[in-house]
Amino acid sequence: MRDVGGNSAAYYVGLGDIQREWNDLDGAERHLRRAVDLVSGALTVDADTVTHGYLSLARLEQARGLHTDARATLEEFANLARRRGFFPLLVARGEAARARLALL
Amino acid sequence: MARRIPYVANGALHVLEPSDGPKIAVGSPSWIGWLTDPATRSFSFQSSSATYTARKESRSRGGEYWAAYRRQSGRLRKAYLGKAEDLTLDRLNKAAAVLARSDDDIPADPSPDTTVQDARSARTDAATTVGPAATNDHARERPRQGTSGDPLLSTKLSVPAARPSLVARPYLNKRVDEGLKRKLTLLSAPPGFGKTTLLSAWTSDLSGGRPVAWLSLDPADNDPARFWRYFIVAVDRVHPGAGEAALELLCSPQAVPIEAVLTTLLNELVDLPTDSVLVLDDYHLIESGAIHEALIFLIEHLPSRLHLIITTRADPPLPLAKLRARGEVNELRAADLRFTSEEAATFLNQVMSLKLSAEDIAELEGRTEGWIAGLQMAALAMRNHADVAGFIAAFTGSNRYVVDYLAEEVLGRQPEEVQDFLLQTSILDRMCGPLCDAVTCRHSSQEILEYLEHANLFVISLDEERRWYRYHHLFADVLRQRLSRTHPDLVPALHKRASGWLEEEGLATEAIHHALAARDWERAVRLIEASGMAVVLGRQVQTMLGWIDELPEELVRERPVLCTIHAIALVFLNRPDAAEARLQQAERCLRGNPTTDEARAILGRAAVIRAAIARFSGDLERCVELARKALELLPETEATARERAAASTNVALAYQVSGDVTPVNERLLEEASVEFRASGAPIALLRSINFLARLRTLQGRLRAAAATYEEAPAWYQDGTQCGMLGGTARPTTWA
Repeated sequence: MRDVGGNSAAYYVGLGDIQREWNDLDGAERHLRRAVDLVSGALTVDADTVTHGYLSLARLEQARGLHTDARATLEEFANLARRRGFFPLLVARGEAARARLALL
Repeated sequence: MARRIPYVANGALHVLEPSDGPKIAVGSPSWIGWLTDPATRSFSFQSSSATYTARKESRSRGGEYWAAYRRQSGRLRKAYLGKAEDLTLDRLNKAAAVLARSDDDIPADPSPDTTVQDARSARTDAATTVGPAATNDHARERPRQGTSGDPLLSTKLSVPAARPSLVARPYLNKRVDEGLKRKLTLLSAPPGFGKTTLLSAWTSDLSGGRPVAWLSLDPADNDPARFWRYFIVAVDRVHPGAGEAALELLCSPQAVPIEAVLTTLLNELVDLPTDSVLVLDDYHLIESGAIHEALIFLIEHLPSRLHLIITTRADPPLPLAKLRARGEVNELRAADLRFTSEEAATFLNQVMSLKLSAEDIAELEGRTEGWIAGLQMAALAMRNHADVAGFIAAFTGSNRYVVDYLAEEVLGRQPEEVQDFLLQTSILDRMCGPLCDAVTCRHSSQEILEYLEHANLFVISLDEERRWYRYHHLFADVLRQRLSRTHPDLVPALHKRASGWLEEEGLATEAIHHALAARDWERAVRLIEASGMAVVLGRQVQTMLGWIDELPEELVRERPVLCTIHAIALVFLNRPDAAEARLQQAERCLRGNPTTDEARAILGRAAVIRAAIARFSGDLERCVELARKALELLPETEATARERAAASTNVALAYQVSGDVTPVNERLLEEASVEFRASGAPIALLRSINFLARLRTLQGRLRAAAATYEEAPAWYQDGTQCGMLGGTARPTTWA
C-alpha cells in the first residue's frame, strides 16, 4: 500500500480498524501506528479521527494481551484530548474505554 | 514509516518492501503482473542517461497508463510511457534518453511514442510554477500570469556561480572533502571570510558529479513551513522524486509533525548510490527554535551517504560537542579560512593586478589578518591610488571599522551614476536588470550590474546565466546605512517601486515585503488579501503572522477579508479563540452592507472556518449546523467553489450525528463523491470518500468499506501536494 501522506490519517485509521476486525493484527498495527504518528502532532485534524485511531489501537493492544500498552495509549489520548479541548463526548469515549480496560 | 520506492536498474525491478524482495526481469510476466497490481503506484528508473520516476495514472475515461517524470533545471518534465504491457526495457530507456535532453534539444515535434511535456501542465497548476519555462529573458523566475502566493525562487536553490578569477585553495577543498566522512561540516566564521565562495568553488570542482543540493537562506525562511519546503525541494532537485512524499505530508491540511515529514524524506534517501551533499548557506539567519530542533532530528538520522554542510557567522544551537565526541562533525573556522601570505599576494597582484611590493603585501596582510573582505576592499580602494604605502598605513581597527572605512573609499571612487545605482538598489535582497531599472528609473541597469561584477564590486551572481545578483552582505549593509543617512526620504519610494515590479512579475511574497518596508499599508493589504490565502494554505503561517504584525491593528480590523485569512492562520496554530475574535471583527465590518455577494462570501467563509473549528474539536452537531449556514450564505461563484465543497462535505457528516447509516445517506455521499470528482475538488473528494467508507464500516459492510478507502490514494497527490516541486504552494483548503 502506498504511503499517501498526511491527509490520510482517516484512511489509515479506517483501514487499520477494519484489519483489526479481520484479525489481521500486524497489518492493523502498522496502519494504526502510522495514523497515530500523523495525528499526534497535527493540529488541524478531525477530533473524531484522532479518537477513533487511539481507541482502535488500544483495542488492538488489548487483543494482544498488552494491557499496559493499551492503558498508555488511552492515557496519551486523554492528555491529547485535554490539551486540544476536545468535545466532552469524545473525552467520555476515551474514559469509557479506560474503564472497560480497568475491569479486565 | 514511509515505503521505499521500488526501482529498476540493469533491466530488473528491485522491490524493497518486504525487505530484500525478489528481483523481477523487465518484460517478464511477473513484471506485467507487478505493474498491473492495484497496490503498485510508482517506481524509479535508473540508467546511465537519466534517472526518473514512473507513475501509474488514471484516465478520466477509465483505465490506467504510466508516465515518466524527471526534474531538470528546476522544471518537472513528463514523458508518456503507455500501458503496462508497453513498458519494455527499450521503452523505458527511450524515455530516459528523451528526458535527459536539455530544453534546447527537445524537438518541436517530439517522437510520438515518448511525448515530452512540461509536467506542470499535467500535474500542477501551471500558473503556480517557476523556472526556466518562464521565457521572460530578464526575469527567469517569473511565474506565469495569474499566480498568487509564493512561488519558489530558484535562485535560492542554485549554487552561486564561482568567479573565474578565484584564488585556488586546493587544501581547503580537501578540508571540505573530509566532511564526506562525517554527517556535518560546519563553516563558521564572521562575514567576509569566503565561506560561500569556498563552497561554490568546491562544488564546481566536483568532477565526479557528486550531487550537491544548495539552499541560500534569508530571514523569511524562519517560517518552518517555508524552510522545510525549500529544503525538501533542494533535495528533490538532486534526487528526483525523493521529496515528493515528504512534500505531500508537509502540505497536507492536517499540519503533520515535522519529524514525520523528515522521516519520510530520509527513508527515500537511505540507499543512495553515491555520497550526496546538502548545503545550507547563511544559517545564522535562522532564529526559529522549531527549525533548529527539527534540524537536530535530521542530523541524528542522516543516512550514511548524505552529508550536511552549514555556513554561518556564528555557531548554530546544535549539539556540536556531542557531534565532535562522535567524530561526526568537520569544522572550518576563521583561522582556517583566512588568506595565507601567499594567497594574499596572489589575490592582490594577480587577481586584482595591483603590482604591490612584498613589504606592502605583508603590511596589508598583517593589518587585515588575512580577512578576505578587508583585503578585497583595500585592493579596490587602492586602485589608481598614488600613495599605496601611505594608504596602507592609514587604516587600522576592527573589521567593522575597516569595512565601513573601505566601503566608503570604494564607493567614493565610483562614477556618480554608479554610486546612485549602488545606493538605490541596496534595498533589494536580490536583483536583476529590469528590477533595478524599475527601482532606479533608468534603462541601463543590466550594464551596470555586469560592470559591478567585472570590477569585483561585491556583487554575487546567483545563477549561471548571470541574471540575478545580490550584494555581498557586508557591502549591502554599508550601502543601506549610507542611503538612510543621505537620502532617508527616498527609501519608501524605492521600496514602493520594487514592490510594483515584483507584483507585476507575480512574485507576491517579495512584493509584500517591500510594500511593508515602504509602509504603504493600502498596497500591502491589497497584496496580502490577494495572495495571503495561498500563503496560509501553503502552511506558511508564521509568514502571514509576521505580515499582520507589521500592519497597523486598526487597519486589519477594518478589512474583513484580511480578518478571515488571519483567522485561518490562527486555526492552524490551534488558537480557536483568537480566530473567533477575528471572525467577529470581520462580521462587524459587514454589518452595514451584508447583502452583497462579496459580503455573503465573507460571512460564508466565516461559517466554514467555524465549522472546521467545531470538527477539529469533535463537536459534529455544531459543525453540520455551521456548514449548512455556510451553504446558505456562499454565493455560487467560481471563487467560492472550494468553500462550498468543504461545506458540503461537512454537511454530509450529519449521519455521524444522527447515527442514520441507511442507504439514503449513503447515496448522498456517493453523489457528493461523483460531484467532487467531476468538479476537481480533491480535498473534498478525499473527505467524502473517507466519510463514505466510514459509513459502510458502520453498516458492517467491511469489504465494501475497505474497497472504498482504497479509492483514496490515487487522489492524494492531487489533493495534498502543493505543486511545490515546480513552484508555489497551491491552495488546497482548510476545512
